[in-house]
Amino acid sequence: MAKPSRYLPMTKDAVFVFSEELLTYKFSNDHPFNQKRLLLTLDLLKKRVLLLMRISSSQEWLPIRN
Amino acid sequence: MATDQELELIHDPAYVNAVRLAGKGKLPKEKAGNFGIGTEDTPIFPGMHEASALLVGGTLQAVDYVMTGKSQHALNLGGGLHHGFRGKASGFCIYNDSSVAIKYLQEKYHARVLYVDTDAHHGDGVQWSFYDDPEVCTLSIHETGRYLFPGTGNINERGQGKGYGYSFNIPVDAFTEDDSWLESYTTAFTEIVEFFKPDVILTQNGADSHYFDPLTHLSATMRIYREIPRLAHKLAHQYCEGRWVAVGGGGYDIWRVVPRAWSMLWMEMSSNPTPTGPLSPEWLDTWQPDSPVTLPQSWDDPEGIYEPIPRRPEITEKNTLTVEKLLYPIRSNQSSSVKPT
Amino acid sequence: MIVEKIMKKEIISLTETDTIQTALLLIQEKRIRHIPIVNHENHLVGLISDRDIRDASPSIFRTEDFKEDMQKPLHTIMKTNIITGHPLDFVEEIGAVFCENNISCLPIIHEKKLVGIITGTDLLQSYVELTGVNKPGSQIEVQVPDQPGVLHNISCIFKKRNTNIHSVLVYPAKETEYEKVLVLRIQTMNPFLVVDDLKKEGYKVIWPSLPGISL
Repeated sequence: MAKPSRYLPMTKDAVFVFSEELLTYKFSNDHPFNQKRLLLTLDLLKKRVLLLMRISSSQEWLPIRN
Repeated sequence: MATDQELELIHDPAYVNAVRLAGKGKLPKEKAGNFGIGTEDTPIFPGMHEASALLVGGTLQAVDYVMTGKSQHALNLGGGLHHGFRGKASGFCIYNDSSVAIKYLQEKYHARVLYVDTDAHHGDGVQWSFYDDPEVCTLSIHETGRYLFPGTGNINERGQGKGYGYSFNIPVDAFTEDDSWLESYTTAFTEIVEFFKPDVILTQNGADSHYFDPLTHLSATMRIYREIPRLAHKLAHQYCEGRWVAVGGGGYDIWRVVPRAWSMLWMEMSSNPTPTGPLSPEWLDTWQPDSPVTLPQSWDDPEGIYEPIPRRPEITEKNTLTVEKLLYPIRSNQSSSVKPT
Repeated sequence: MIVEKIMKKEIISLTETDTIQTALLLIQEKRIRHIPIVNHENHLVGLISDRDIRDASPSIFRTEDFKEDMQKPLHTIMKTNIITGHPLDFVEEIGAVFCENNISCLPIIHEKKLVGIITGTDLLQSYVELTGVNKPGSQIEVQVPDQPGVLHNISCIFKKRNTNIHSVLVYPAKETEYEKVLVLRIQTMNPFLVVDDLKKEGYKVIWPSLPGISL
């Protein structure tokens, strides 16, 4: 299998480990454990970041590579 | 993806093999039961070995980044599957990435690890993995196991043998609210990190203590998800030169709770101010059509998302007493010289 | 359940000529509260408890004054005439023996030899196992009519969900004599599916119930 997780250096302080393949941990459509929450979180962060960038251009933030 | 060798730092080879077979549809049903798979909680799905090993790999990657100094902190929200046992799946968890990561931290980096678990369910898999090991300290704060899964996590589970005194549990009462929850967490975490003096902190960030969570009965709000990472961040800098690895965990209101809680975690970890005010309208527009519930409009919960809790003073008092009992041994030892080096 | 299943078989024992000092150190080191005293044939001749030793020890204000007392042999302080049990006794009955005699330790004798020991802690542990809390599970409570077949009907609902039951306790409902409360520990993190099934079949689920209702 290809290198599974990509790390995303967003600031020099912290890395965010993510791969869309994490969403393959899926029991069934109606199981309470649902990794769609990872997508919802990432999307909220991305949109939040856009908001931040408008406020402050000094934010160090690399866009998430898909 | 974690290798078999890495998984087997914790898991039985026979179990890893069974999970692999199950994911290919080749594990007989009667055998699956012995490994805790094929149940309503942990059904078999195609490729379950690869999916589970992948998230373990993510946590190990986070560990490597922090321990080699490439980054001060690292986050794998796909991890935090704290119910996985040596030879058995349990509570939606197949492989236990945190247990594997702690063992990996010990073997590869000879690190003393403090594991802090704020999931609403007891972090049983991790606790039992290191129950007799004084080089790993576990702290779990969770809803009392009197009714809730997995039932363990009582205050008297303190470890055994050489590991006695290195396992800490705060079972908070059902319906516990922000103030009492945060007081318990802050007091215990602050004193335990001072007692144990870890090299690295691993936090499990289940987001299921919120009032909205469908599987649990606590009454917390977004406030705790703002404060949980803030304290972890501060203490990691104070005691571990910043070394902090964080993983996800439970969280079953995936619309109203988890995205906000985990965004807070990342914003805190990456030293951004944790957000306040309204949520991004674009985000709301994107996801509201898919969501079965009305999405929250702001980062913080408004007042009054739940009816007042009738027995609040008693619940608060009980939690305070629990924390006092929990910390008694390390408080009474502070004057003597039992502190590990 | 029989005693043999829960008794401790690795027994820490002393002989009656050992000193009180030895017993004191052993109790501290092994974190135990009772030591059976045996002869060379492993026959039980006495029992000492941490309380017997404490009674024999000098006051903490006089630790230097009566040092020689601690060198006395154990037969000077041990209790004889000990209540004992047999490996085939029932654990439930042993519980009653503990309560009636106000004891916290029972040596188990087979063919005159000491073969095991049971303490109050062991009894509590077996009670804990009885309730199933030593295995990961959720607890639910259902109030049901006190009549034949109810347990069968309920267990069918669990079977349909492929949910394993760790333990079942039954106790009378407080407010009515025609109903009983079933306390089930089930191997699932999500009890709500089966709770819905139970409610659909008309059963009264006491827990889990809606938040806000006191426990």
